[in-house]
Amino acid sequence: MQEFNMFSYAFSLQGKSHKAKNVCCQDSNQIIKVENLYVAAVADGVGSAANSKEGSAIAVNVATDYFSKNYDKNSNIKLLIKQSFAEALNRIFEDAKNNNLPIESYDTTLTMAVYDGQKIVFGHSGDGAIIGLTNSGDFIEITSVQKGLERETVVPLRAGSDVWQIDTCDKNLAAILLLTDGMLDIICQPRLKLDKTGAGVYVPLASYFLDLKDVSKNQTAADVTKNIEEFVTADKDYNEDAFYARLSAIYKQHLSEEDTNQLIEEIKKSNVPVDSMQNVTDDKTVVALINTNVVIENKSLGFYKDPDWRAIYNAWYRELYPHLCQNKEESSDEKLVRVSEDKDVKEEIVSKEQELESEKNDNFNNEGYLLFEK
Amino acid sequence: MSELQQERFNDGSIVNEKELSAPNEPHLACVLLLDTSGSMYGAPIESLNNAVNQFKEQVCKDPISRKRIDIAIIEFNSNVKVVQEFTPISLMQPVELKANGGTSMGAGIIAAIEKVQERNQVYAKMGTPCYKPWIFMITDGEPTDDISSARARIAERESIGKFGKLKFWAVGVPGYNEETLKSLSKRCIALDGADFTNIFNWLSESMTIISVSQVTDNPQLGKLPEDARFIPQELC
Repeated sequence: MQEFNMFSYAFSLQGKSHKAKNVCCQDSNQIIKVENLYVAAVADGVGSAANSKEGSAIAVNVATDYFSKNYDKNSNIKLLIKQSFAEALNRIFEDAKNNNLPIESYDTTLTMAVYDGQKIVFGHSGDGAIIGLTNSGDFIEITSVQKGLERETVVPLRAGSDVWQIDTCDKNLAAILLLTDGMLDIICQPRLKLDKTGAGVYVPLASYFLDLKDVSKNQTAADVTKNIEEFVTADKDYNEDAFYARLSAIYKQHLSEEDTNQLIEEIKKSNVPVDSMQNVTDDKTVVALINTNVVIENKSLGFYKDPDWRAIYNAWYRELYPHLCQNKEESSDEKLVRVSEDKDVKEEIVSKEQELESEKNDNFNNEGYLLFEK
Repeated sequence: MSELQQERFNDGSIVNEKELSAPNEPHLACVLLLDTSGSMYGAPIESLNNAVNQFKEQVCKDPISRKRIDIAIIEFNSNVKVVQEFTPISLMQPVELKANGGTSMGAGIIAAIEKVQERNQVYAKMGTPCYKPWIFMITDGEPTDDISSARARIAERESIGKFGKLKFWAVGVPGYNEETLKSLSKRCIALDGADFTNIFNWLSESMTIISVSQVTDNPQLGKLPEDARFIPQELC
């Protein structure tokens, strides 16, 4: 087994919508060490379920505890995770019965990961997620969101073992991040689907949470944890300079100072990382396990760049409101290409940018972003 | 146009206040399905026009709701016409509906259902989360076409999956047929008169409550105004 130093942090924070309604945070989380493994779990009590806080707490505590008590080096970890989920569900049933409450009132999601510093085995039910940072520096969404028809409902733990996703990831992972859906929606923003060149993970935010090359060098673990917690708390007085200072330190591990400064300035213009976090109204849970011994490969400049939000917005807008756009023949399949060091790709990008600029001038007047039909 | 407020949008550009629909945020599609048959002539159609136009202002007071709600308007009389395609509520154009002709309620309902179905598919395709869509129908009379298909379509959409894929509201103005409305929807509201101000205020509050909730929540709506009441459904 590879030696590793594990850096971890975990927060479950009450969301703004719950603060306004005086409802407690319905998320729960847990991290434990079991011999040479780290076991992390997050759960999100379903909003409409009256006892979902109890449900989510039982889920993470019982699942990890069962795993801990029943693991040995010969264990079939996938089977043990499934049994841990089943035990968590049994305890929820028991609690509901003892209190004479309907089981639906305890509904919760559950996502659990067993991590050895490189490989992960996981169990998943609901709309949370596990994001991984591979040794080669890529961010990947490891789990699949389980939501009901047209994403109107969440599939809870109670849906049963036929629905639970119990699996492994074949990639070597330098770090993993477990999230409930409020956080997932900003790290894997749905509109990123319109950027066909990206992997669907918002790199500036994912880097901030998972890429901690600077931990041992420049900051203590406590400093980093505090920094991240303040960002996630997203208090209205939050100083966004703190976010950009850390992101800059992370990017400088991969890029030149000049390139980093330019990228950070561009990200500041959109301010999507900070605005996204400020706009989350749901409860927020993040749990990170980071193997600080892994040297993550550097990626090209384009990888760290902010997406072309304007182009993404345009593509989205034209698709949703075609009658409001003067130039109706634009295709929503227009290719969005990231800046790349490759010369041919650069030329294509320049050509595409000129085309988009030209479209912009056709469509936009001096008074607005898009021209609308009167 | 010079007095328009400018606010920072999340792509960094300073943009017109008109750009208010946010792709990342969950969207609520609502069709206002409006009876503009001849019997609505006069004060009723005037009140309806005023109420629809004020509805926009009410909803837009909430900064979150105005980014999340898309409104389409369909009128039915002897024919069915899409008055406005799905548009961000902040960009809703004023309506000036005229009352004339019969009451093609069945055709209007089918058109509205197809609109919301198509809408949710677009949201799903674009990765935009969405709430269960609403159809808010207002009528003052009996249908002059066959509504059996419409009835079946409403029932089907409201019962798909565990929680259904549609919320259909039927609002009756004096002159409406109670049995007809009850056969269409379990959400029937009767108005005391043909003043739509209060019911549209309730609608705007309801839209706001929904649009600031989580997609998977089932929030409680406010009380109906005093000039409206739920029409009770008989127990089977």
